[in-house]
Amino acid sequence: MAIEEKTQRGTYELLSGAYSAAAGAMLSRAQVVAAYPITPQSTVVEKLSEYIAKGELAAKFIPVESEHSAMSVLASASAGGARTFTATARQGLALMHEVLHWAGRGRCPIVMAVVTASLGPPPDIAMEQDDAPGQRDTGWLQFYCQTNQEILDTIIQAYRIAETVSLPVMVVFDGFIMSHTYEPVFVPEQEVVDGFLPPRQTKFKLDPDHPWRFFASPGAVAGAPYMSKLRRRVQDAHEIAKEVTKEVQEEFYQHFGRRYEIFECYRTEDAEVILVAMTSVASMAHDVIDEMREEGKKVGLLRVRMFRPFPAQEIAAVLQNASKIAVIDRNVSYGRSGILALELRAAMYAAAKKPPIFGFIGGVAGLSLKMENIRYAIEYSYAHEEPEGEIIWLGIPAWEEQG
Amino acid sequence: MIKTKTLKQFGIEIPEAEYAPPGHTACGGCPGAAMLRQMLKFLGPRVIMTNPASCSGYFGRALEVPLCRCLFEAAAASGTGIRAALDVMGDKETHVLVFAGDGGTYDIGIQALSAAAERNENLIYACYDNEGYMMTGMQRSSATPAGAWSTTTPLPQPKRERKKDIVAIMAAHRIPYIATASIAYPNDFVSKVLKARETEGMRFFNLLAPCPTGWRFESRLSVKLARMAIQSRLFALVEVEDGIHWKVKQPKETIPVRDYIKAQGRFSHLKEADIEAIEKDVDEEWKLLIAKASVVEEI
Amino acid sequence: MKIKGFDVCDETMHVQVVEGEALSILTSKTGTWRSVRPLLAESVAPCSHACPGTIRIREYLALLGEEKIKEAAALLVEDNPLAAITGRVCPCFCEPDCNRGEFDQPIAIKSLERLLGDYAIKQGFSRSDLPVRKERVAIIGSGPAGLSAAYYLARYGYQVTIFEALPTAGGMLYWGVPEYRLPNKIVAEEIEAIKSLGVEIKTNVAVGQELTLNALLAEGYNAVLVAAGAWNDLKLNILGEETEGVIPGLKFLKRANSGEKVKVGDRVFVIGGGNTAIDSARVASRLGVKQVSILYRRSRAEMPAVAEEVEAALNEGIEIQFLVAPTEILVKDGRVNGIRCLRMELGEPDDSGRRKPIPIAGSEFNVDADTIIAAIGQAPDLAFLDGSGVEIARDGTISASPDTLVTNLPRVFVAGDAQTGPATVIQAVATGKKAALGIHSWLTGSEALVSPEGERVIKYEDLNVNYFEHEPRQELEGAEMEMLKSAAIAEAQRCFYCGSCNECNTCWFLCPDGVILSKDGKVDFDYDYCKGCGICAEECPRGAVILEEESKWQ
Repeated sequence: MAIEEKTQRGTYELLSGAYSAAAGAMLSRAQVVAAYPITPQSTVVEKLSEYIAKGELAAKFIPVESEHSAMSVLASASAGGARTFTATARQGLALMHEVLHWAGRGRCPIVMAVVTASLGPPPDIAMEQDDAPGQRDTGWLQFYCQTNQEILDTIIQAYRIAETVSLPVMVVFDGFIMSHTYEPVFVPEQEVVDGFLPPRQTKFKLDPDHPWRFFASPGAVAGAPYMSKLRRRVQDAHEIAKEVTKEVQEEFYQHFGRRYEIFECYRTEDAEVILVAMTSVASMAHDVIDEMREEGKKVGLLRVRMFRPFPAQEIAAVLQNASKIAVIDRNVSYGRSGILALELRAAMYAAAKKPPIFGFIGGVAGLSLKMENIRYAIEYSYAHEEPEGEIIWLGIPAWEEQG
Repeated sequence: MIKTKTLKQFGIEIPEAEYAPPGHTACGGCPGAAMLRQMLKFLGPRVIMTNPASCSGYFGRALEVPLCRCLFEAAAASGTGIRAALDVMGDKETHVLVFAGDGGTYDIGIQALSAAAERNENLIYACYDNEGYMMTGMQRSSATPAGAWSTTTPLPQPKRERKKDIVAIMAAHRIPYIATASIAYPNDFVSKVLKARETEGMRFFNLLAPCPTGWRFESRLSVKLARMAIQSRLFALVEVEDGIHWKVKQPKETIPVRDYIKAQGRFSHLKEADIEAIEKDVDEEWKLLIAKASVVEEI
Repeated sequence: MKIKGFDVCDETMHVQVVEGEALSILTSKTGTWRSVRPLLAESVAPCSHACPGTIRIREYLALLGEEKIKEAAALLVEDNPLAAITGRVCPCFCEPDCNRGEFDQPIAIKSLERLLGDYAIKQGFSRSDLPVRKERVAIIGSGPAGLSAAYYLARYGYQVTIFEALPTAGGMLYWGVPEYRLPNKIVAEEIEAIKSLGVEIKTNVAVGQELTLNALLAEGYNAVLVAAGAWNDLKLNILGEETEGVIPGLKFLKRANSGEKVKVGDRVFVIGGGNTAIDSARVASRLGVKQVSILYRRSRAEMPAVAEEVEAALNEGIEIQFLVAPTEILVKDGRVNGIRCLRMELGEPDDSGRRKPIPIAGSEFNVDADTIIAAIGQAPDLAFLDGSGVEIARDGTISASPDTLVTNLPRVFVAGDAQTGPATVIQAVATGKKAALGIHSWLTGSEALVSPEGERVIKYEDLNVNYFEHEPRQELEGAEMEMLKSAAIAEAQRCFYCGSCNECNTCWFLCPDGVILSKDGKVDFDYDYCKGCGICAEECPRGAVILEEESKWQ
């Protein structure tokens, strides 16, 4: 069937980011959903439990008592061979931390929607993006989405990727800005999705006919030498995941007519300053880039979509051609700098040319990040030779200052 | 037809099949290992086991049933996940056995356990209770009885708090079946495993596992202590159905509590006044237990 | 991904794909942990140890408990062919030592022996499958020792002929023990059963006159067994002993058992405290004597007679005067008129281990009596061996090797009271068996069986009685196996089976490591994995498992 025809098989619906995630999980025929409510994720789970209660999704829904249990349920259900899904945010993600490692190193192909917002104290549901990036060491793949369409699509892709490389995948998007705002989203027909995403096939699962041991120690005999090889294998899987993702994205385009890249470049070919950003910051930055281009400034945007594994070489290849790199983080890795800035600096170290990197941190603790902040960041980068320090605070004055 | 051996002193049949072969690294004389071996005989071959950090990591080294290790807090959640996977794939037959220690049940795992009980998850949760964090070096848990020495309640301050009443806690969740058991009463233990096997919904066991290493006694006396615990009434053999019908087995021949206490090194520091206080407490607790019971049988 | 030869951890998931034998790679040979090891220590049950015949009591009780009555009876008579008799008259050495007695009531072994013994005789002793040997053995005496030896020799296939001086076979069984204790019918059935094995009994043939021991040997008997018993009454050695009215005990019983209505007076005194004395008193009572009394020089505790018999005698109104000894028989008109008695007190133990009676000076008194039965002891009557060359010891018994019971003459053996002095039926059975084995090993040139020394005998503390339920002792008197079958089986099931593994599977169940194996109907241990925790030894209900230092095995 031609791509054009396929793109017609479905309907447009006005969906919030949260409902897009729920729709993605439903279309992916998730079999076991274990989740705990937390703002701003709760509506994902409410919608899913509605689908299940009405029989639209033939899954088992387990209303667990904490996020730690949610992920623990899924890790074992995954070992049991089921396709699993959950969603969380903020404290919930932090509470899951131990189990994220378990699922990552345990290679469970779980897909989770992460709706980023702040980590307390205070226990506020403010907009921030430190929860998801803070879990980058756990072995999970991370995709950061820009639109509600992308959320739905990425969840479907995530299962293909996860079940191919046996790694769990986070599909990350902003709390409130995306989760609670509505966009027209094309919801494909179940049949089309089934054609792209077959049921999970796994060679190994918990099965009374085979006394296999899941997540267990190989014991004194094999021990450390063997486990080290296993760790290295997880890294190998991440490297393979990058290529697999590209293939899956291509295949997705063939089925659904929508194209995604592991990172997206907007007007970067001749840019002097390239802004690097993720999620809604990137989508706002589009307009800033266009505005500044009208004014004759050679600016461009690189939106990071795949954050783990981090496509360092490919991103460096693009960024090295700019004179300046500006990066906006809505998070702080305390004691260092913004997390995306860290990743870029490491990526650029191996590049032939190393433009200075201006690391901006703004829009934390619920403080809005506006277009004027983005514009400021780019202009600042233009105006300065080198950044003064590792962090340039965007709209956040020092403690002693007024404001 | 399952091949069985007769336990001639009791006239009951025990399946021959071994799912917990020798070569595991539990301490010699561990009743937890013995009780797991027996439970698997009756639940196998179609059973999947999950276990958190605990001594069960030692005696679950090479089982002839599939094993899913899980995090310390997550025993009941792990069991829930396995059950969910089996259910969505249409397998209602295979048993899910969660086998955790008292640490993973009474303390760090109690949240997940309470939630699974509230949801009446269709699994068997067996806590083998050696009254402390024995695998990590005999630290106290909320299952450690009052007066006991442990590495985190060393002298001169042994544990003050009484042992948590896990049976009452589980009963409050109104799950279909709860039972306590001791390896020294094989008939009782086996009948309870069989009853649990035939019941649907959440089934909870508290299995007394006197620990030679942590309680400080010779390993050959494990079963004897498991008997003395019942005879002294410091540990009760009970069943609770639907959280409200309590059945208590009353020992025909009782022994003084002090006999049981004095057989364990972890109590060797107790003075006469302490022992008398414990004896008084046992009497009072027993009265309360009998008052709750709708059926009292002799054993 | 492969490691050390098995698939471990698939590359797509953290899963160890190990199964079957490969699972053993995840285990350790935990047998190296041991400092003690369990051992199956098949030990002697106290009942068997106490029994002079070392009867395999627990084994036949186990069969009976499994309702295998025929097999139980067969096993019993293999160890004791006269079970129907001992089940009635034995002093019963076993029951007081039965460990069950400390738990509730001892097993009613004697009653069960009687039931099974009677059953065995009814079944008959089978001649089929018996070997046939050409050697001939002569046995002098058809009492329990002779009958026992004949049984075993016949089962070995020898041609056996018993020479009995009296008109009826049975020895002390027929001529000594009264009818009410041991019916002659039972004795006759027992003898018939033994004869059915091919044993020939020639009654009314007294060896020593026309037929001597040497003559028997010359006649072609390969071996001769002297089982002539202890038929001489010991003398009182007091004045007036030869007076009319004084009857020696064994002679009295012999006459009574022959059917003669022995003439006794109205006032009978029996002197003595053994079975012969009690039997004489009870027989006299049954002859219609108004008052029968027994004079015994020690107290009741020292009486060698079977306790139940003493009890029965007292219940029958027989008077026993303890600590009284006769010093003179009083005579009037050539007949017994009374007894001059002296009171005794007990001093230090003598050679027999019993406290010695010491006369109390000045305590003489007289009793009226018209008949005195002197039953103070027996000794073998070996006059018939004069000129045979057989060595006789100072105490009047025939000397013999303790292992084979051969005398100083290589072809002559001895068994029963003739060798031991007066003893019990079971001892006669045991010595008869030993002599038969001795004869057999000599005739075949093989080694004689010697009892192992230093065997472990099970005490109550060696058991673990937590695995038994209290059950009442069954009433098993007054009927045969047919009627009492379920009670007999229930009683047999009360047996603890001390000291022997019967695969009750208790240790197999309790073992935390699953290292208990099954071998030839008993448990065995997988020493590759056994950690030596000791639970099996501690919990074995019957004390059949012990622990030993591992260093002994290195």
